Amino acid sequence: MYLSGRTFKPLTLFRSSVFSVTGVSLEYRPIVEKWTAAWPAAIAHWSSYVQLHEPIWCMSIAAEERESLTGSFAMIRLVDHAVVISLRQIVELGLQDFAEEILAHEIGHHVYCPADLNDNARMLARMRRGLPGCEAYAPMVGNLYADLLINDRLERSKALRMSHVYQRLNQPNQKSRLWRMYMRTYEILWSLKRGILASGEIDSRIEVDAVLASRLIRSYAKDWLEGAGRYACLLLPYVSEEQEAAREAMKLWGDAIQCGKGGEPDGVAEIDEGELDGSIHPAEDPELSGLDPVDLDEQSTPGTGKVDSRFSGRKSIKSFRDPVEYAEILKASGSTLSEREVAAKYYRERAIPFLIPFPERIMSVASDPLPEGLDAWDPSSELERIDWLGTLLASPEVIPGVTTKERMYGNSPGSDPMRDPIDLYLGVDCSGSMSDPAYTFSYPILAGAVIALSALRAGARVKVVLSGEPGRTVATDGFLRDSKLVLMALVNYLGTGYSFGIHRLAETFSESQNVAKPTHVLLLSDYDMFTMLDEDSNGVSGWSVAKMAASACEGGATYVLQLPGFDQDHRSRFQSHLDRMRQDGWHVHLINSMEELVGFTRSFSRQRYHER
Amino acid sequence: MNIPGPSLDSLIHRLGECPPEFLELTMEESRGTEILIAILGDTFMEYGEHNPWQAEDPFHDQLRHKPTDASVRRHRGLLGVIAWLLFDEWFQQNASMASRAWPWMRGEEVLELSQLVRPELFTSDMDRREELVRVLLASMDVRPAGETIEQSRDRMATLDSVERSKVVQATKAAERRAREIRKAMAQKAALESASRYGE
Repeated sequence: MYLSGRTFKPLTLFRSSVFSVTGVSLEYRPIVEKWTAAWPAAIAHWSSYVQLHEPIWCMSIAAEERESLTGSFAMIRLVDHAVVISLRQIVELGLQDFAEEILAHEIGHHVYCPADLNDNARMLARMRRGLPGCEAYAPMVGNLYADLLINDRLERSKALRMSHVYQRLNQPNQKSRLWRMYMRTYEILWSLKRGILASGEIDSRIEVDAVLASRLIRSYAKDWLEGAGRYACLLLPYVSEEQEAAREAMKLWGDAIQCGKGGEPDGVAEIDEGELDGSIHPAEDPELSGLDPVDLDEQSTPGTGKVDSRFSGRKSIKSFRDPVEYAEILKASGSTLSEREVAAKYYRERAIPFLIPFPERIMSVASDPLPEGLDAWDPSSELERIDWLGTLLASPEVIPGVTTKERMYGNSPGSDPMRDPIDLYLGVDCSGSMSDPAYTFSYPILAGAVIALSALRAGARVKVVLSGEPGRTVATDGFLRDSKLVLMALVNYLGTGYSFGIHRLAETFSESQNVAKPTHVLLLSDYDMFTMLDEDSNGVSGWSVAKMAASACEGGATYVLQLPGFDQDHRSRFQSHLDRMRQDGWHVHLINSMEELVGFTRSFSRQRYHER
Repeated sequence: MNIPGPSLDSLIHRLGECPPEFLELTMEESRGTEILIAILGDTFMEYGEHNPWQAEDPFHDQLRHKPTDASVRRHRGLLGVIAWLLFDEWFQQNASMASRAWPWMRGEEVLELSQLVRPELFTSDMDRREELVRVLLASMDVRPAGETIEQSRDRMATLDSVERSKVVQATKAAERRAREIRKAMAQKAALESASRYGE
């Protein structure tokens, strides 16, 4: 049996106690009523302004499987802000009387820790850094950490009986050292008698680690992300020793292990400042250990003038993770994106801070749109074209394609000049000498992403051509406006041939035929482009095709070349090639670093490619 | 810990109210020792010790020795904080109990504690405040009001800085080893990543 909170709406009637739960077996009716009634109170423990739909109650194994509830008796999903409760297991485990405690705990995951997909991913990134060799356990450690924070708040500030829930479920003589330490942490946090929650031997290491954990939970309760790396470091020896046994011990409590499943967290490409500094064992942190052994060189006056970097007023240099680590964090947080989708997302995140004003044509003749009445809107047209006022005036009942209207516009002479962005042709060298951007960070690909996204933002269309020749070539279906398709094409990888097939330009540009719209040609390649330009195809040299394309595209052309180790020797060897490229009408940028990338984007935005 | 004593919360609260100037005074390099000797002398005379300081008391030397040393300064600071705590109403009403703390204050336990924890933490950090209250009461064979002997011992063991220090030192050593392993693993991963280039 299965009951979804989204369709099951007897809440107000439950409150008035006149509702009989239909569709629920007699066995579960009392508990459904009781737990549904406890939901508003559970929400109020966090804030009465919290808006969450009622939990999804599962009353059979099949219903649990449908909701992907495995192992635990409760879980949350950040993607659809859901709380899933297995009332079947609640009854089996004898937890019927803890409705408010369990529901408030699950709500805590939604409003406190991890609260959203992005913070969940950032927490996992920090935990992975603290769990070298055991990164796969980061979601489990994150769940334990979040539970500590939530339960401590509910037990101490809201007087909920969280300790009783653990008491009810704990097994005597717990074998897992990690679980013993975890339970001992609760005993210390809540000043409980030793042994109430932690069963089995508590040695001095467990005792001290539990003390450190309890101090960590209190110290970082308001800034829990900062404490995540420290908590992971604290648990590392236990996790690396026990591994699957630890997972088994906390299986029943794994209510947030898969909380980010299906989500797409943002902002993970950048490494938080605290992520690097925060991966220290709490024993190394005097604030947490409470210990600061005497230093014989200690000065008599307190304070050494050292200022926390957060309050120094200085801007720090941002650091970014590589695509592989980025993909691993997304995977750990439950993302189901494909490898290329992840890579596209990575380069989008990296590119966004560098977006530039994309070159555009400024027309002397401009016109303003003039509304000219309504026409029928049909589903093949864009959704934003619907004129809702006109639609509702035609019929209060909206039937797409039948009653929907869109406004027609004519032109009237305007006063401002019209701006029209030029299109972009993006040629990407996908030969064996270029690394796969999904595995190794590539400056040329980032440069391409910056220019492509800038173009799309300005309203331009983009065509991406991947080429590794002799070998294969893949291109988008013409010039597109869809940034996802463009980026997916950009980060694809062929690994054939030795360079971008410069002769491919002739497929799009020709001397005899004008382009539909001025287009900028941007080629991303490496040293091998020099060889490719010398190649002939059907008696036409690469240089000729490149020169023709730069002229025929009417929007300028740019080479972005990644030339690792480009020094004086290379300069003397390739200078004539670079000079010829420029003479043929191409701009040339060598990009091997972030500084060069920034210089390139700045220079690109200042060019007037369409003006001769 | 056999005798039920004062409320734990009120003594912890009193520590939180210790003026920073009081602490600084006892830690002062030039006059700190003399001020502390005077404060402790007055306190324990109040509590019935007719002559807390013996003539040429070796403890004086311990407080004066190398006055610029951080360890001595910390020792004086902690003794100053304890003196502040001892001036609580409960101790004034139970002078005979309070006077039992005097030998303990002159002993190794306070000295050792002062070397591990900065004196100001005994007035600012909740756990350290509780620890100091408990060890002071234990020196008088007193436990906080409302606690059983077992509860009191358990909480003392949890807060024990000396014991914690030993384990933390061992943990730090293990952490150093783990860091070296992490570094080696990172280097290995970087090498593997480099070898993938061009695959």
